[in-house]
Amino acid sequence: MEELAVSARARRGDFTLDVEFRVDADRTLVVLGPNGSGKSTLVDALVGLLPLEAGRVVYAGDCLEDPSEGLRVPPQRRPLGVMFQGSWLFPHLDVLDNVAFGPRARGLGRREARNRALAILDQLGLGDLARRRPKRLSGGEAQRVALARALATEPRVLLLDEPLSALDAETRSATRSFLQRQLAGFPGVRIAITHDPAEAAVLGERWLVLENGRITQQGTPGEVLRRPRSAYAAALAGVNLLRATPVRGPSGLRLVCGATSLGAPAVDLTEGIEHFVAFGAEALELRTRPDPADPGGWISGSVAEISVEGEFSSVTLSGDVPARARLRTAEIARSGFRAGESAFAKIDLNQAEAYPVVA
Amino acid sequence: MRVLVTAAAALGAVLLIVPLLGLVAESPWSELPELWADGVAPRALGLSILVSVAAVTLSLGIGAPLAWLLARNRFRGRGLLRSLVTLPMVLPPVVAGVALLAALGPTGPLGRALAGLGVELPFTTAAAVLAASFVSAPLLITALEGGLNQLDRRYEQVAAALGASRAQTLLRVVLPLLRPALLGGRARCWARALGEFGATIAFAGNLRGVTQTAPLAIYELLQTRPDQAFLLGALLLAGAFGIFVAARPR
Repeated sequence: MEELAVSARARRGDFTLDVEFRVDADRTLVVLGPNGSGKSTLVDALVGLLPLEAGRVVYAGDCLEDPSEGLRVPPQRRPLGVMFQGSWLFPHLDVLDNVAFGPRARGLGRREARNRALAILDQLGLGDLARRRPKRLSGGEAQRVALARALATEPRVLLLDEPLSALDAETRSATRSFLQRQLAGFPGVRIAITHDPAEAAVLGERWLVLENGRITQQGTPGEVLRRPRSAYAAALAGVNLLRATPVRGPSGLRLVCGATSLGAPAVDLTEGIEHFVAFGAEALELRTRPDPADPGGWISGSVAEISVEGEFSSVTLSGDVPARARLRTAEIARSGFRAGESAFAKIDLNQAEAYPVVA
Repeated sequence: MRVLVTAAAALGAVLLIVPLLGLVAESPWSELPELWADGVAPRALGLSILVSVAAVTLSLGIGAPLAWLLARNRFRGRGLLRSLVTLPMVLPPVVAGVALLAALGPTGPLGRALAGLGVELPFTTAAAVLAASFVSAPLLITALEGGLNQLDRRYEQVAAALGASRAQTLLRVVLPLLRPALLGGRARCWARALGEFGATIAFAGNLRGVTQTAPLAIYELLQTRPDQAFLLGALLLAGAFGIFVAARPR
C-alpha cells in the first residue's frame, strides 16, 4: 500500500504540533490553516528537519521516523520532494544546475544529472530558462523551477509549502493552473500546504484543517465548507457558526444557544447534544426592533460593525449570538442601523446546517 | 553646509592619497637595479610573500572552524570567546609580539613544552608566520562569521531535502554562498599579514633572509639608505594595490 501514514508530535519553542493523518498515492491532501497554525512546523517535521517527540511516519511500509525505536531517516534519504515556501533556488547556480542538484547529490554524474534536469525542465515547458540565474527569473518562473527541482529527484511524496503565496495576483492564477496540471500528473502522494481557500479548492480533493498545531477537521472541500467545525473553517466558508443544543420545551424542540433560543430546528435533532449551527449571512434577518407582525423569537444584540461592500453590506452582531448579516446598503441607512446600538435578529433555520459537535 | 562637507571630503582625500603619490614620486626608480642587485630587497619581498601567504593559509585553517563555531552554536562563553579571539586585531602589534614571546619563548609555558620536543620557534621564519597569523586571522574570522550569519540556513535545509550530505552541502552550497565574505576576509587578512611589523620584530626578530620581511627591511634601510627605503616601500605599495584590485568583489 503506497500510502503515507503520519502520526506526529513535535515541539518548536513553546509551540506543539500534534497531528495524525494518512494520504494515499495519487491523492492530494491540502493542509489548510491560518498563520501560526503549525503548517511550516509540519513541513519541517515531515522533511526530517525537526525531530518528532513522539509518533511514527511510515511511507509504503517503510518507517521514516519513530522516536520510540530511536529511528530517524535523515532528510537526504527520505523519498520526499519539497517545494519550500518562497522558492529558495540556489542563487549561485543557474536553473539547470539548480534542478540537477538533487540528482547529483543522489549519485548521478554531472552529465547524467544535467540531462535529467533538462528533460524535466522541457517536460514542464521551462527549457528556455535553463541557463538563467535565479535572480533573473520572475516570481512565477522561480516557483515553477522550484517544482522542477523537487521533481528531479523522482520523489514518491511531493510536498508543496505555500506554493503561490509569494506571487502577485496575476502570476498566481497562471501558476495555480500550472501547479494543478503538474500535481495531477504526479503519481505519488501529494501534500499541498496553504492558507488560501481559493488555492486549496484548486489543489486538492481532501482538506485537512490545521489550527494551533492540531487538526480541527478533515474532509472534502464540500464537507468542510458546508459543515465547518471551527471559527476559522467557518470564516473560510464565509458562514456564521454557533454552538447550540436542542432542548424539548412546551412548544416542541428548540435550539438553545447559551440562554437564547434560536428557534425550532428544521430537522429532528438529538436532544441534549451540543450541535454546530452553520448558516450564511443571508439566513440572518436583522431589524432595529422586532417585527410587530411577528413579535416572537427575536434575538437581541448590538451592532458591532458595519462594513460597506458596494450594493450589499455586512452587519456584525455581538451579544449572545454573534453573527454576520448581509443587507442592502440602502436598507442599512433607511432602517437606521448604527454601530454600538441595539438590533434584533432571527435565523432562518431552514437555511442552516446543524450537526453534532462531537462527530 | 554643502561647501563644508565638500571641503572636508577634499581634505580627507588629499590626506589619504598624497602620501601614496609622494612615495611613488620620490622613489629613485633609476636605482631599482642597484636595489635589486644588493639582494636585501628581493629576499625581503620574497619572504614577505611567503610569510603572508602562509599566514593566510594558517588563518583559514584555524579561522574557518572558529567562525563556524561562533556563528552556528549557542554555548556559554561564546561572547567571551569571540572577544578573545578577535582581540589580537585591536592589540598594538608589538604587544601581540611580546605576548607570543611570553607564551612561546624559551621560558614560556608552550615554549618549554615545544623545547622538550626539540622545537624552538622564536626568531625563525615559522615565528614570522605565526606573528602575522596572530594579528591577521581575526580579520578573517570576523568576515567569515558575518558571512555565515547572513547565510540563511534554509539553503542548507533545501540541499539536505534534495539529498545532499553534509559534506556536499558544505562544498556545493555553503562555500559558494560564502564566497564574497571569504574573498573579502582573505584580502584583508592578507593585507594585514603583508604589512605586519611590530609583532614580527618582537617575536621573530629582524634576521635577513629568515624573518626580515619587506616592512622590516624598509625600517632598516630607512636608517642607512632612505632613498632605497622609499623604493622598496613603493614596491610594497604596488603589491598591496595589486592584492586590493585582484580581490575586489565583482
